[in-house]
Amino acid sequence: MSKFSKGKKRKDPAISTAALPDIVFMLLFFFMVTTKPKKDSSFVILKEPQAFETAELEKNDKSILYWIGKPKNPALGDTYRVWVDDALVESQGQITTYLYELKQIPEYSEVWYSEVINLFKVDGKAPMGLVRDVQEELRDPSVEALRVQYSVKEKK
Amino acid sequence: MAKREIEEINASSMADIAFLLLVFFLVTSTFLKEKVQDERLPQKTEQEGVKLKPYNVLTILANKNDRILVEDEFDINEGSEVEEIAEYVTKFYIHPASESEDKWPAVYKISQKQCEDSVASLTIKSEQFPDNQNYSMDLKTWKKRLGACQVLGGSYNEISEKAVIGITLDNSTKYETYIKVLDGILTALTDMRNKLCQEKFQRDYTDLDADIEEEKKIMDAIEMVYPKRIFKAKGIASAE
Repeated sequence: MSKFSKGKKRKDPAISTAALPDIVFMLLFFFMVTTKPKKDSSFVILKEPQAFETAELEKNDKSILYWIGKPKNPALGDTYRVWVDDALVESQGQITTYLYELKQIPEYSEVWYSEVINLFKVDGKAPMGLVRDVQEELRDPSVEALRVQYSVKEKK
Repeated sequence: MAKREIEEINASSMADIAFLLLVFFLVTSTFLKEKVQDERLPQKTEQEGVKLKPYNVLTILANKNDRILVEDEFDINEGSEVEEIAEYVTKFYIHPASESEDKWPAVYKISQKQCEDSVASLTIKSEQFPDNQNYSMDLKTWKKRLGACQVLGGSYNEISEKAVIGITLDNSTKYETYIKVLDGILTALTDMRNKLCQEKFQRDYTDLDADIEEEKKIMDAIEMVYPKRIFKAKGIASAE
């Protein structure tokens, strides 16, 4: 009779998977916090030009978005149009008014407005005259939003 | 009544649910940061259209057919716009001293002594005439120059304050053409700044962090040597 019995095989204890959800949740929260949904316009056809020399966009919450391109909606016609923060620009001076109203909001005027970035998302084929018209409104002395960034694709 | 034991809830499918959420966020989100090109619009002033000496301006013209011309004569080839524009821009900032007259903007040597003297005298003047904007503006410029001298080791060469790069565009010039021109200018500037930074501090200008005070000083100094002054002119009256 041996001391080491071979009769009964001992089963390995099952590995506890109780901590697995915790790990996965941790990953989940990480991705939820670090990423933001890709902002894509639903109303404008856009093909941004490429550039070699680029900077990274920071402070996305401090930018006002300008879309310039042909509208996806055929009812709006086939010419290049401008949108500011999802609103179609329909008359001259509308952008200046919009910015002026933002500037008047007390909690924006001090910190936010002084660092505001005008982010242009423009279709590569759009005419510069349109871009310049928008920028002329930004230069209006009553609003003076002078910092402009052009959204581009990086060329490798 | 006998106490009934509560059955344990099976939590093994919790992981599956979490995985499902995780996969969803992985697929719908992107790590890519948006890429941008910076520009600062000029302030609106009373006198639009200041007369500039031709040698102080590097004119880049893009017409309605998206042809690019530098200094009204050099035709830029399609396909290599960025490289060719960058070449001209580099020449505009760095050129042999012998051919500077009437062809290129003047370059001045700025020394620390000169800066200190100017700052001292302008401080007195701006205190005497607090209403005069010119003195306080000059003082600001000279203080910046002094800062640049201290960082760059005593003295540096500065291109004339009047030197600008002028981009003239037609109203129907395509936006992508403008981005190409801008890209050329920015490529040249970054190259020159990187080179200077490598020479002085053995690192790239683009690696500097503006949030660190020491590095911000270096950045400011390098930007004094190679300033970004772009001026977008109104459309050409369909000059073909």
